Amino acid sequence: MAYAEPTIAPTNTPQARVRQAFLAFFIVLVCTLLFTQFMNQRPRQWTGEPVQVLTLDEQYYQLNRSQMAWLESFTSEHFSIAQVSNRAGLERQIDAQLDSLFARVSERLPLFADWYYSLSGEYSRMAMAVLSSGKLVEGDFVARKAAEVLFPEPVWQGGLAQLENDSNALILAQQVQTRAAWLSQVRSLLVAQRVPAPLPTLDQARQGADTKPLDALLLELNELDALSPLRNRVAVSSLGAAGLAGPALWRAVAARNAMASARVVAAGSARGGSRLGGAAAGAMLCAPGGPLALACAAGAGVVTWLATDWLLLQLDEAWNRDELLNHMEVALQDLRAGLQAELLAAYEARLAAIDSASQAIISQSFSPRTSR
Amino acid sequence: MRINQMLKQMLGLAALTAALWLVYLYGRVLSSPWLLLMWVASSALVGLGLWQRAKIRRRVWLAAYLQPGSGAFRLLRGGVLMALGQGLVAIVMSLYLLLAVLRFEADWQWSALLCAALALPMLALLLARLLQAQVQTGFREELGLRLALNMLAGALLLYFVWRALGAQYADFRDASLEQAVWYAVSSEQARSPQLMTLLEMAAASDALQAWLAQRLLPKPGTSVWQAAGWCIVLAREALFVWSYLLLCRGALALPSLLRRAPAVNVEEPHGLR
Repeated sequence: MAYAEPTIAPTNTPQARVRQAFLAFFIVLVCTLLFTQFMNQRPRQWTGEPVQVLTLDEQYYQLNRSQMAWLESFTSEHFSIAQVSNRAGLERQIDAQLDSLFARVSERLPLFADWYYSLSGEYSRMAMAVLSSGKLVEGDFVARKAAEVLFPEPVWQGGLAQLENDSNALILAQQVQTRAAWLSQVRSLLVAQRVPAPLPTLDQARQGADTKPLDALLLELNELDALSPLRNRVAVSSLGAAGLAGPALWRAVAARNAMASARVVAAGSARGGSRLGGAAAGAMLCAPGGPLALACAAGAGVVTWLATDWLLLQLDEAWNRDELLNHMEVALQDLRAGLQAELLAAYEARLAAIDSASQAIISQSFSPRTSR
Repeated sequence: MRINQMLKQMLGLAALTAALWLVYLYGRVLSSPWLLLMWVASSALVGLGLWQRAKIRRRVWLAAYLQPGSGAFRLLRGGVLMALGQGLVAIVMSLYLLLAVLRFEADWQWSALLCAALALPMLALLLARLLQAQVQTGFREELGLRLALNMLAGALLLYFVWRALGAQYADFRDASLEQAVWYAVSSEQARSPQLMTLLEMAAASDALQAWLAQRLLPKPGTSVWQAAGWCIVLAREALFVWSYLLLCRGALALPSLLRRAPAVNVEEPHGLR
C-alpha cells in the first residue's frame, strides 16, 4: 500500500483565515455553553421502587412495596386464622369443664330425690306452702332446696370460677402463642431481606424517617392481653349466678312434664285424704278408753298419720322417683346447654374485640401515613 | 498538521465530551438497549484508538525486523486476532469509563475533561511542529499525538489524584464494612437493572476502599497500607484517564478510517528499512 501524502489546503488565504476564525469562535461558543451547563445541570435521577425499612429485634429489613403489602396481608391473615383456631380450642376447653361440673351436679340428683321423698321434705314443703299462701314466705321453696342440694357453693361457684380462670389463662396463652408463631415465621421469611443497620450520621435524611419498627407492633399487640380476661363474668351470668341455677332447673323440670307434676300433686292430695282417714281410724280405737280416750285418740291419730304418710311416700317414690330423676337430668342438660351458649357468646364477643383491635393495629402499623 | 484540521478536531472532541456528559446526565434513566448502544459506540471508539496504536507499533516492528518485500508483512500486519484482542480490552475499558462517568459527583471533572479534549489537538500540533526537525515526516503527527496523549494523561492524572486528596468522603470510621458497603450500594439508582448491578458493584468497591482507608490509613506505622491505598487510587484514576484519552484518540482516528487512509504507513518510504 503506497503512502498518499494528504493534500495540504492553503491556510494563509483570507478566506481560510475567516473560516478558521469562525470555527474558533464557534468552538469558544460551544465550550462556554458546555461549561455553563456543567455548572447548572444535574444528572437525572431514577426513582426506583420505594422501599421500606423495618426493624425487628434490632435487626433491619428492607422491603419493597409489594413485599410490604404481602407482609401486611400475611400478618392480618395469621392473626385472623389464629383467632378461629383459638376459638375452637376455647370451646373444647369450656365444653370439657362444663362436662366435669355438671357431672358433679348430676351425682347429687339422688340426694335431692331422697329429700323430696322424705317425711321432712314432705312436711317442709307443706309448711312452706301454708306460709307462702299466707304471704309469709316468697318464692318456690322446692326450687330453693334444689339450688341448695344440687348447686352447693363450693361445687358450683368454685367450678365456674375455675372455668373462668382456665378460659382466661387459655386465651392469654393462645395470644402469646399466636404472636410467637408470627414472630418466628416473620423472622424466617425476612432473612433474605435483612440489611445492615443504617449509619446514623449518613442515613438520617435518607432512611431514618421511613423505618417502621415491628417491635412496636408487637408491643401494641401485647397490650391487647388486657382485653383478654373476663372478670367474674361467668359467676354473675344469668344461669351461672348463685341461687339462679336451682330454680331454673326446677322450673324446667316442672314445665317439662306437666303430667308428672299433676301426678305429684294428685299423690299429695291422696296422701292428705289417707292421712285424715288413718287418723280417724286411730282415734276410733281409743273410744273405750274412758277419760284417757281423748289423749289416746290424739296419740294414735298422730302415729297413724305419720305411718300413713311414710307409707304413701314410699309408694310415691317407688312409682315416680326414676321419672323425677330423668326429668331433672334432662333439665340439667338443658341448663348446661344454655350456660355453655351464654359463656361462648361472652367469650366470642371478647375474642371478636381482640381480633378487631389486632386488625386495626396491624392496618395502622403498615399504613404509610402512620410511619413512626 | 494544519490549524483548520486542529480546530475541527477540537470541535469534534468537544462534541465527544458533550456526548459523554449527556450519558452522565441521562444514563440512569435510560433503558438497557440505549445503554448497550452507548457502550457499543464507546467501545468502538476506544477500540479504534487501541487498534490504530497497536497497528502502528506492529508496522514499526515489522519494518525493523523484516526484509523489504517479505510476505510476512501481509501475514503479520495485524488482522482479526489483533482486532479481537484490542476489542476485548476496549469493551472493558469503555465499560469502566461509562461507569466512572455515571458516578461523577462534581462539576470540575467535566471541566477538566473538556479542557483536556480541547488541549489534545493543540498540544499534538505543537509537539509535531517542535519535532519537525528530528522526526520522520510520516511519524511526526503520530508521535506528536502520542506525546500529547501521554502529557495530558499525566496532567489529568495528577489533577484527579490531587482533587481526590481533598475530596469529602462518607465517614465510615464508626461503621462496619457491611454497613459501609450497604450505604454505598443503596445510594445507587438506575432504570436499567444491568446498569444498576454494575453501579452497585462499583459503589461497593468504592465503599470497601474508603472503609479500608479510614480504618487502616490513620494508624501510625502503616506505610505499606498507605502506599497500597494510594496505588489503588492512582490505578483507578489512571485507568479512567487513559480510557478517556483512548476514546479521544479513537475519535481523532475516525475521519482517517472513514477516508480509508492509513494514519501512518511505515512499510515503504520512511527509511526504516
